[in-house]
Amino acid sequence: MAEQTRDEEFTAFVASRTVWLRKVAYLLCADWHRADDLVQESITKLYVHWGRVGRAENRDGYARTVLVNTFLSEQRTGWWRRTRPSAEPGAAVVAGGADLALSLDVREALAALPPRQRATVVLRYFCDLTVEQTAAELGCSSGNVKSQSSRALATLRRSAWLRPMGRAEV
Amino acid sequence: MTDDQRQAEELTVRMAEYVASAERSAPPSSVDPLRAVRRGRSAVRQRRWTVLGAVAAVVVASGSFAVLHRGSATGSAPIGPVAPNSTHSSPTAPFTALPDPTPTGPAAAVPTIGRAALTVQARFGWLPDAVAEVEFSATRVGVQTTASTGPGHSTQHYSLQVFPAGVNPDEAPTFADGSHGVRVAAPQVNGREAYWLQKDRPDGWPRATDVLRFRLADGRWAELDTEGLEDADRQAVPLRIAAGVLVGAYAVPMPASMASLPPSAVLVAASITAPRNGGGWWTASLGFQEQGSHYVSVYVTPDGPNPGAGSPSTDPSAGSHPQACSSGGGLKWCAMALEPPDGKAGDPNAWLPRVVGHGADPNAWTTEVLP
Repeated sequence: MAEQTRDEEFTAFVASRTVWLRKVAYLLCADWHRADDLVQESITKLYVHWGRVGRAENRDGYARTVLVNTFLSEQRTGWWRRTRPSAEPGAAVVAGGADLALSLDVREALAALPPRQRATVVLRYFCDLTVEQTAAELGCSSGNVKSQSSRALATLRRSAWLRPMGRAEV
Repeated sequence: MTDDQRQAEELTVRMAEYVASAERSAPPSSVDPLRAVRRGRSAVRQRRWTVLGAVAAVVVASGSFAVLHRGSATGSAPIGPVAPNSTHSSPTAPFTALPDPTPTGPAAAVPTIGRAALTVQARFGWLPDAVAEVEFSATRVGVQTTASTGPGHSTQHYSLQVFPAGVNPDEAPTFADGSHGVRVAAPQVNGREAYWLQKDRPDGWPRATDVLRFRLADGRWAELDTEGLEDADRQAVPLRIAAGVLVGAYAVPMPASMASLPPSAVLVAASITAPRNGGGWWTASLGFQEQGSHYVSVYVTPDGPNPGAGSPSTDPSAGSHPQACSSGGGLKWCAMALEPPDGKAGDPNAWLPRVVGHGADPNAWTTEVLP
């Protein structure tokens, strides 16, 4: 009975968060299939540790932490980065017109960032976390988050994506 | 609103637009919660048996009870000194440890030696000329030294960590994609054993040599994690860096110390980032958790404008957090709360008087950081 309750609770939580986690994963890896793999792996880890997750006040934060760490873990060996060069767009084809231009610019700009900088940007500016929260999720210092953010922004400013923001190149 | 704040807001909006746009043509999701349940159950069962086996082995071997380090069921353990209540996360052992969520719940204390807040077990000796910045940091995932390239170079990072004495790092960790780590022989480092950690995935990259593990003179294992090297350098450079590593406990001097701490405060992070060859802008920080819930960051910089980016004054989030600052002797130091103080804990104004600055000259900095 306890296991059944645990499974029901877990399934309900995951079902309500999959869309959101998939978006975060897509921003990290720029490929929907890969994003699905990352989310699948992350929710499996969540299940293994569901007892702890279930007690956490911030389950969403926990799930996001696991997802980002799963992404970074894979990057450690560089397998994904080298078998799919960073500039290579993912498999999905996006909508045409302005949407296409925007998507390609953004994808290219994010792909140009090293994994930790990309993760930092996603956590800081998409998930809207503070420096300290981002540091805690990435398991690094706040100074490291600041330097990663700074470098990422400098790179993004040089991209076609952020150039129209009225900011001179750094 | 500053330029940086405007840019941060713009970035947030554009990322949301980008995801929304991409989502319109995304393939159907293949994420399956029930598959996670099935795989998760299997992993839980396997873990229970592994832990039981390890407990039995220890009891048989020692005839007494022993404290098992998490994730050490096969004699391996995550990187970093063991600290009470530690929740070390090993990226190569995803099922053995998970980071705690933040900012809820008590945090793990970082290991400290004496009054030093930050003690590394090894430092870089030789580094490529392109390296401009070195950071020492201690967090819940361990103590490490990181070197990074500066502007004008392709981004390279080198992270050095040392495993505790007697710990053999896991040579076959399970990666998130289901593949496993494989030990691949590497040339000896200073005449001692070394190997690369690769993946067993058949379609994987055969030259995945970003992780180099090597024995130190005292028998401990060290790990050098490299990112951003060109193919031609991906073996030679890590091997040369490893050969030049300086081994030995090194308490890192800090520009500020704490005259006192609230009774319930725990050090949860410490770091200092500085130019490799001295001079220029640096930042140092000490992270504390008070009463098991409130995070307070004490950070120190040179007093004055940062010629580059990354100073607290250009941090878009800094203005949204309660903080109190002071300056003197060429330093500026601040105490910043992660969340609003509740009257009992996390008050930056109560923390600030506890901070003692030691001037801008690194020769005057101290390793006696904690009271």
